[in-house]
Amino acid sequence: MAFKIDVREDGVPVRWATDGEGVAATADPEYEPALYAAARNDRTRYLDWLADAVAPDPKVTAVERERRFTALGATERSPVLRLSIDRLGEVRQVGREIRQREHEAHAPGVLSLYDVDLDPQFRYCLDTGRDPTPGRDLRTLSLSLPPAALAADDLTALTVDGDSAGDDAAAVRRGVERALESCDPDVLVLSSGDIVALLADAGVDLGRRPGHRKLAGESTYASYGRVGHSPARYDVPGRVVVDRSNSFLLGHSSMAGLRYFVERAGKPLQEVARDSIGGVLTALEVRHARERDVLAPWQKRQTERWKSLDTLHAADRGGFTFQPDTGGSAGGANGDAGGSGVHEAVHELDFASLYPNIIREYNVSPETICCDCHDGAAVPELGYSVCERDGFLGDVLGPLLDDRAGWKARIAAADERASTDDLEAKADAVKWVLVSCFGYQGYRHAKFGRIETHEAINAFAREIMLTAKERLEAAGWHVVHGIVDSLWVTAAPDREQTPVREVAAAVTDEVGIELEYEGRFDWIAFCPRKRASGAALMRYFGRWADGTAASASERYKLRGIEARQRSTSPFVAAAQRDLLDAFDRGRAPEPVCDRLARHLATLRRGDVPRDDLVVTQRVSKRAGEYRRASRAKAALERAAERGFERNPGQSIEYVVVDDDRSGAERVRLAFEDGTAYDADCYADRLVRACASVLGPLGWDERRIRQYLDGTRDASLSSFGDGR
Amino acid sequence: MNSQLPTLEPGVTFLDDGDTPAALYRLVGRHLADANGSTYWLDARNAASPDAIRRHADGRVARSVRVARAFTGYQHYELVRSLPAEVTPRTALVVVPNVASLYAEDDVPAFEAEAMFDATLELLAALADALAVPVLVTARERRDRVRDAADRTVTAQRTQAGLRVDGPSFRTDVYWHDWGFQTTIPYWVDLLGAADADAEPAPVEPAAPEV
Ligand SMILES: [Zn+2]
Repeated sequence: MAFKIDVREDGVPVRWATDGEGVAATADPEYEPALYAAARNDRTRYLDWLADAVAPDPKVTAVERERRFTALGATERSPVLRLSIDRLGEVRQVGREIRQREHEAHAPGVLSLYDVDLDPQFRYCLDTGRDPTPGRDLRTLSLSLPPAALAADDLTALTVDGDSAGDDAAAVRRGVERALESCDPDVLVLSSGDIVALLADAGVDLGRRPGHRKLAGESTYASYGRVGHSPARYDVPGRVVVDRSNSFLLGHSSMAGLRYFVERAGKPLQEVARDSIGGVLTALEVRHARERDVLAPWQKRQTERWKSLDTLHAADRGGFTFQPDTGGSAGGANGDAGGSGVHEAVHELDFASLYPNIIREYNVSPETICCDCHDGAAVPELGYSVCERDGFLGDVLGPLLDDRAGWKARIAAADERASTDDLEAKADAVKWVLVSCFGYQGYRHAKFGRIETHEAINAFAREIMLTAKERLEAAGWHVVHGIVDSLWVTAAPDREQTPVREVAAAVTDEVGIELEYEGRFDWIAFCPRKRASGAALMRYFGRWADGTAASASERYKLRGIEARQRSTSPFVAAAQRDLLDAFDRGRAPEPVCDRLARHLATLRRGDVPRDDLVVTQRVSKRAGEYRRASRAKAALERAAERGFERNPGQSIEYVVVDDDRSGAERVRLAFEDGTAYDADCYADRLVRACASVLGPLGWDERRIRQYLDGTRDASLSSFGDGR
Repeated sequence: MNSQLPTLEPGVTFLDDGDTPAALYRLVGRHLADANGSTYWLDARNAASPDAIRRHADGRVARSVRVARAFTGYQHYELVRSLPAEVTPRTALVVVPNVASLYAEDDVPAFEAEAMFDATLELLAALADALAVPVLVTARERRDRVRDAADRTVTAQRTQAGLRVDGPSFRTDVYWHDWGFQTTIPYWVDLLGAADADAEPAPVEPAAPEV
């Protein structure tokens, strides 16, 4: 089975298949890719026109008339033109030229094109029915070069599977070649794709045949309102190149997760590794659409339906939130703390994979929502109909839900000696796709997305959560908090309770989606919502009761607070966890502030190792585009001075050394030597982290500083020369 | 209600609303207060905030509004093309805010965007013409093109006295303050009647970002 597809310069695909312990390469010169065209309202004269227009084009080798479904909801096949293309990799070009020709001759949108923007390797597997799942375990070789060395084109820092490759250029070359020879890897996992070019310059070919290709230069793009960066991509003959800096799935899962999607989507490993979650989802959908004989549209033209303001308003409401006005203890001090506070003896209940389960159980799919063949207002609040035909989206996600549930059960049942790493990695990989599928339905470029699907999922979710809340309350429980798919309950005073697991089982039966009992907290604290953020950013922390924790290693559950954030320095993260312990001992603010004072003193003495102060930040702009002096801008300037370029969408790691300065002197990059740091800057961050812990008790930064000032007068010694 | 008001006539009216996005809701609310029939609001960039529209239109009027949102140039163009199937001579108003915005995005090739944008302006003019319905458009991009294609332009400006709306068919000094109408302008109460005082809103918040 071909695990790697090379596309030769002449457009001929070459399959690399495992062959025993070795590999075998087979060129497939007969293969021709195809794209499809359909005409608005199926007016075949436009297809006649197109057939004539492309006749002289040598890139198009054949034109055939066929009938296909051009949309998921189509009940009849449309007449289409199938254009065979000479070379794999020229399909998009032909698509663009047809658009140009159409533009010259007709009104826009007369023709719709299909199967245009598929990865060539994925397309080849789809068209030929070849399964890209490798026939044996692939051999992997890992090459890494630290960012600074990469920026300086310095190969002497290169490591091969963790060991230095050599001390000078010649030794590195010999070292890499020896490793290639002895391991004969099928997969190269690189810290950056640019290593391919660097080694090629040094005379080393990483492929099974000479040469390499740069598939795409680096670029910066915007997606979901976020700036992203995609580094240059490389291809070598006969081997899969995986760029660790550009593989979401590898970063959030492992090779086992990648392999799973190779099999499920039918997309080769190299291409899956590069995919975003949206890309994986699209591949799964395209493959499934083919099974239904539905073509994949190039540009989505499906529009929103005309809606009343009431429907629009109902549809735009976000997920379920229930935040009671009266929190525990001293919450609500600043009037903006709705739902904050500390609660004792709390049970957490979660709907497992709520949105994807709604898609499957309630048959929510682009072609089932607002169908013409079924009346009724199946979708709560919105009154949309839902078709009884088997939904496309549920068919796509169903196997993922079932597989994941199976792995979870095996992980839970595994005895302690057995490794469950692969199962957990696969479960993680699938989790990312499942959590993204809802948002993706609302994404404007999603090929098979539809806004009404997105709205319907949300509406069902709200109704399900409301049902759960009502049933719990009727059974004697008090809901202290609820958001999206989770509910937290305590025993209502003066009432008899039906056991909470029993209620959960009844809700599960009623709504058809499992309401899982997550565990019991001795206490749980909900932070006040941040004033500025429109989205209800959920921040809370709680201590699991003994024997109830989902994982025995974690004493606390943390969400949204600093210790959980990637951008928080290790020192601040560790200090916040220590503050949590202090909080746990009495749930009173003063002892927590006293612990804070000790961490501040450590900081002020200069005793914190520089590595513990590294801040990791994703940059959204280039240095010159920041209007105000910021630390990120300073870090970018410093990086530029050292020939180490970072682009929007990439991360930069730095330590703040003098926050009063602007420009490159404000920070040091993580890999630079030195011990100095700006204690005031980190002290601010510490206080902020403390405020997150004490927010549920109604203490904010100002109150904390007041307390510290008061105790400093009493015991100056613990505070050094701080402000 | 009053001929002095900027009610909208059949044809395409370009509302040049500069830095005052609230002017759109006010004009729409004012026009619909007097009109029967439904309104089609072909949205781009989330101008169609139900809250903002309702603040300027009473319940009956608000119920007559139908919204469809475009998120790409292709969708916008398809929705424009779908208008003739929806709009009738009894339609009160067609609203197309940010008419050029989605064609200016780089997810549509320039030549195609240009052609779709041209066709959009042509279709809206033809629709207004054929059915004698008012069509109200705003634009952040390509204002000159939109102005040329429109039958008339109404400008809205933020001034010290409040919002000022100028147009060919009504008085030039109609003011609204952000928090309500400008009562110091003497003819104002006569013009609108006191009932409108309650309908005047707080400043309009920008709508939530798109999905
Ligand atoms: Zn149906």
